[in-house]
Amino acid sequence: MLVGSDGAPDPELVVAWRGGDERAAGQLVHRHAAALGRYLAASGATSADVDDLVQDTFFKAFRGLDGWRGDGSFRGWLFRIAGNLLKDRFRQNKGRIFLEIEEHDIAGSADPAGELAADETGRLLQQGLLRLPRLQREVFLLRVQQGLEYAEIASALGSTTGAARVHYHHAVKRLKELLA
Amino acid sequence: MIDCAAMRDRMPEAARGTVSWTGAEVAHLATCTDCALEWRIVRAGAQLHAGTAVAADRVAAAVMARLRAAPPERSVIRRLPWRGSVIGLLAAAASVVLILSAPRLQRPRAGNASDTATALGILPELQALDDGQLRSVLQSLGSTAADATPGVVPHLEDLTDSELQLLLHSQGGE
Repeated sequence: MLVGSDGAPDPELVVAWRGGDERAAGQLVHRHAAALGRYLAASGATSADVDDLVQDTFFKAFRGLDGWRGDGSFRGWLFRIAGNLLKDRFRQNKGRIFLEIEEHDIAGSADPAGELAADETGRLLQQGLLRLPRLQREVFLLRVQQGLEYAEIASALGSTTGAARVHYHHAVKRLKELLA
Repeated sequence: MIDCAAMRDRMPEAARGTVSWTGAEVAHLATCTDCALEWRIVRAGAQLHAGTAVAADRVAAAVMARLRAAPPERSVIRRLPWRGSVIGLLAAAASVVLILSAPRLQRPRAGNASDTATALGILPELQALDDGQLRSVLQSLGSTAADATPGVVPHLEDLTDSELQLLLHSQGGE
């Protein structure tokens, strides 16, 4: 259970927001926005889209809190919504998001946030991730970038712990082939 | 002896700094090329887009503004204080529908008083049709059941109500 610097765990903030406390919703946004942004960026969202997608993710989450059963983590649920939104965006753009990111990375142009732009492994990894099947990419990022346990990943993706492990294994195997 | 699989399992945590490698594990990473490559990937993955900046204040304000304009969605059922009764009634209604429609889902059997059997009783000539004839009749009616799956012979009980009705009319029944 994730507890923020203010001490209130996510489920308590969710209950508070349900009771009309806007500050609680604001705290949830501040707590998870950066992680969502990183996840979306690594999943292929353009830098111009990240803020919008993060905003849409929270809007959908707060509007549909009845859909969160509380048995998985709130953050995991946010990742699930974000992944679905990105998938929709990708469909709308007919793949242009991925190509855009790929060209950006291959060209090696300066990264405004200074995030591993000069790191060859990081760039190769980003290119490799965008070539993975969606589930493998999501599991890899949730495990490695976000540090979620397999059970939490399974809950976030509506899968099983065993399936999450298998996706991770295949993702790493393919990334090794690409980076070897 | 280092267990490569166990070590790789801990790599995400090690990359995030929540666990540390032992001296033996560090030495292993220097000699096992496969583990070293995976460690390089996991370390890079843990740092991927670490500098991504999200304007949390702006996002929070925008989300709140949108939420005020459109309050949280709540299921209609959940809003009802007597939702338990509603669910019970819905379940009872579903049971009745299932009971009434169950005979249509089964193959006709002797003594089965289904709608299909009733139709067959009214029109014995339908019962006399062989599979090829039944397919021809269905195709002439434009039935989807006739061409849904190549090689699969249609059955009367597979037809929808409207298809059965068409068939009965085509054979001079009601």
